[in-house]
Amino acid sequence: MNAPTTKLKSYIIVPFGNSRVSFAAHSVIELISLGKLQKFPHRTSWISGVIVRRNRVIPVCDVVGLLGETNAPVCRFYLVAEWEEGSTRDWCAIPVAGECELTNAEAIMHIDADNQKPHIAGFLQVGDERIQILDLAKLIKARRMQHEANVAEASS
Amino acid sequence: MKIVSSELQLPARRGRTEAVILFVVAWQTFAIAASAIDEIRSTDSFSLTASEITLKSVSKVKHRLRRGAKWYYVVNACAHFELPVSPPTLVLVLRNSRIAVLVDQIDRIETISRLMVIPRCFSGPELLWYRGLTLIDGNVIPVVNPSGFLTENEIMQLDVLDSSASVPVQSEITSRRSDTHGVSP
Repeated sequence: MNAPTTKLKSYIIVPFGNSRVSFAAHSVIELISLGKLQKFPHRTSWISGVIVRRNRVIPVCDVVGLLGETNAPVCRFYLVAEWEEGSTRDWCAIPVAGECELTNAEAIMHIDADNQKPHIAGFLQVGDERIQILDLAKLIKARRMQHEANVAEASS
Repeated sequence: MKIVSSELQLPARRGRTEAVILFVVAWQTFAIAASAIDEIRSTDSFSLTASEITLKSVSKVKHRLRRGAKWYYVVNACAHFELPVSPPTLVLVLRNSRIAVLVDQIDRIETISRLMVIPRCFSGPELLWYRGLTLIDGNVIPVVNPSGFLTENEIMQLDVLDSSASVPVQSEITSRRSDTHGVSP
């Protein structure tokens, strides 16, 4: 068990099914109403389609596939967030119910480094609730690796 | 929240235009560079020069097409993109390759000025299928990679099949249009 360290930062708290998760506010581009979801053939299981925003094509993540959330919320908005891989930045849209909350809070980092999932950057303590801080880049990379492993297993 | 920097909105390529042919497979529109197409044939016209070929590991190829001294492997686009079965009426013979593609119909020719890279979230074979994405009338159209229809390894596997195993198909393609090779919905 590591000693917790704290940092004061801004976070966007988003409801997902029965729980809430948060993203670092600097990674959130905007919250937009649901637009036309466009589809073309692909086999990335956790992407449900794409939207066009600011002349960009933005993949829409399937919340169930991305977060493993079984109770997918009724979504009315897309949270457009940025994630980085190496020197490249990209956007993705996450369907959310809309009750997003901007908060300044102390993040509790590395509660239990051994058991903590890699895509969880830490936690926010809001009242009695402990809210995961998601690292979108690590989450997407993890899903990509899982997807590639599933494909390899299916083809072997 | 933050203001979007102009840097982020740059297309993958700027200042170039490219003629693309829009084609339809199972009600899905795709684009392919016009320069990548050598010939567009009706399936009626190629049936006499096609023969059947069966390789379990490359099931999207059911025919090969003789054109001059070369054999072209005919890929069913429905099967390639895992789309519902639809009746092909045209064959796109690709340039500088040994691949031909069965498609439902040609929509039109367009000129595009932007080819956007596929977002990095995608991780499946679509990275091989497409050169990128383009926007036409607000619609996202995937621009196919001509060399993505068959890998070198798949072509090699098809090559090693004994040509004597192939039999003339006669008019089978036109007579069996309902029996195409896509994936049933």
